[in-house]
Amino acid sequence: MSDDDVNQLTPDDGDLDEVVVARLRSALLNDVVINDTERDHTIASVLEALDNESQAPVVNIESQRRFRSQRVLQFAAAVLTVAIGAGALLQLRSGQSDTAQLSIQESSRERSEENLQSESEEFAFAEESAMEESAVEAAPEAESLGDMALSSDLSDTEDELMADDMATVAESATEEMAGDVYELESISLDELPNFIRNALEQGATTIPSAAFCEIDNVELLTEVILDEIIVVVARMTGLNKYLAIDVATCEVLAEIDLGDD
Amino acid sequence: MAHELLSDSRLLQRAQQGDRAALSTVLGEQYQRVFAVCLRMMGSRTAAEDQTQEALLRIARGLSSFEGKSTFGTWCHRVAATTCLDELRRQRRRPTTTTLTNTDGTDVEPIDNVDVTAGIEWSDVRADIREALDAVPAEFARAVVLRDVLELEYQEIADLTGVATGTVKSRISRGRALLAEQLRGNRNDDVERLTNGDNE
Repeated sequence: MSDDDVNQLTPDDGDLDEVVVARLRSALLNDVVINDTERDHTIASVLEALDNESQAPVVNIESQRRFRSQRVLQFAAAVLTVAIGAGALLQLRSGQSDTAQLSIQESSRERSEENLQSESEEFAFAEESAMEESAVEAAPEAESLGDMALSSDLSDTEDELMADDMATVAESATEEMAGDVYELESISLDELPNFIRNALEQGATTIPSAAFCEIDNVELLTEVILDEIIVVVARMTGLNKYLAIDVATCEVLAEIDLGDD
Repeated sequence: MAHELLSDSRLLQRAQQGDRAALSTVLGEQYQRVFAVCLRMMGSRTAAEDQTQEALLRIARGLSSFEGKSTFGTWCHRVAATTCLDELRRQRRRPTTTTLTNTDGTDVEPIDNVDVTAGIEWSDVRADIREALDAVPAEFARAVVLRDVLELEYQEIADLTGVATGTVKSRISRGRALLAEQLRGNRNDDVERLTNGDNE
């Protein structure tokens, strides 16, 4: 049915909803006037952005997955860094321990070159050890899930066109990882402040690339199950305030102010 | 341009293979539809332009994964809608801890409490459709547009508008009927009758 035909119809012609919808779509989508200059500029910007991306140095993913080997054997804890979103890193920890043990990932900016060298070797050792640990045998699989999260919002779009958006894909990946391979500590909202304190005492540090959920001015700290919902705990930059963010919806579930202590 | 002589599928194939000129042409062909979706989602041309650029970037990045299971235009439509949804969610989720004050001394309403779809205007829309949309309560008109024009899922609309999915379905149903009545002849008594049940 052409636009001209549609515009000649009234709701009395044929299916009521179909005709209304067709007229709306015609008016609201097809009739939109675009600015040719703006279009050309936008497309040029897109192509330029793609060029810049293709020329960007390849990121050494392994260097971002460094973790210390302390307590790895003791608690069989491991950290997986899963890329979710455009370059975002999601840190998960395995959970055979029943305490608030946290794996530690140091911020690269805090490292000296000397430390980088030693930790690189340490990472190689830890990763080698992890390969022998059944708890982390699924690391490549989990990483693959992360890769899926990166690409499948578009492929899912094609598959169903009503498919879940990126957040749902991330939720699916996270739930699968959490359910099958990893056990995150489960706490209640009341326990959240103490959990954060424990995490900080155990050396959890912020990860600079917390683009996850695209919430501005926060740094990803760690992850926990809060009232049966997987949340990331993020620190508000420069403040002693923390946010518990639902990883599935990116909704801020709680804001915790630890004050000056 | 040589690409004008190529069929759409061939052009798309070349774009997928990395032909930048073909990609430019493909994006140019989809620009109008993507911009229209973004305009209806975001409510202003400025915001729509920003999201159009982001959507086209996503399309270009994901082009290699497009397998032709749907039409390319439909796929682009969905990518554009998802891009805008992400932005609207991001705006709603952004923590706001600072209290802003209007010039009259009253507090500015935090973004979390703002219906991000409330600002949609129909000023550029053809007169008969605009009049019909304006005559229908905004929440009903928006529900119909989000579902039937922008093809969002019920749950997505519910999340966006902050109401239950049942209410969304109810508004869509009544909105369609109201718009139909309006397009038939501005029967405002029916508008009043049909809107009297939105108490979910």
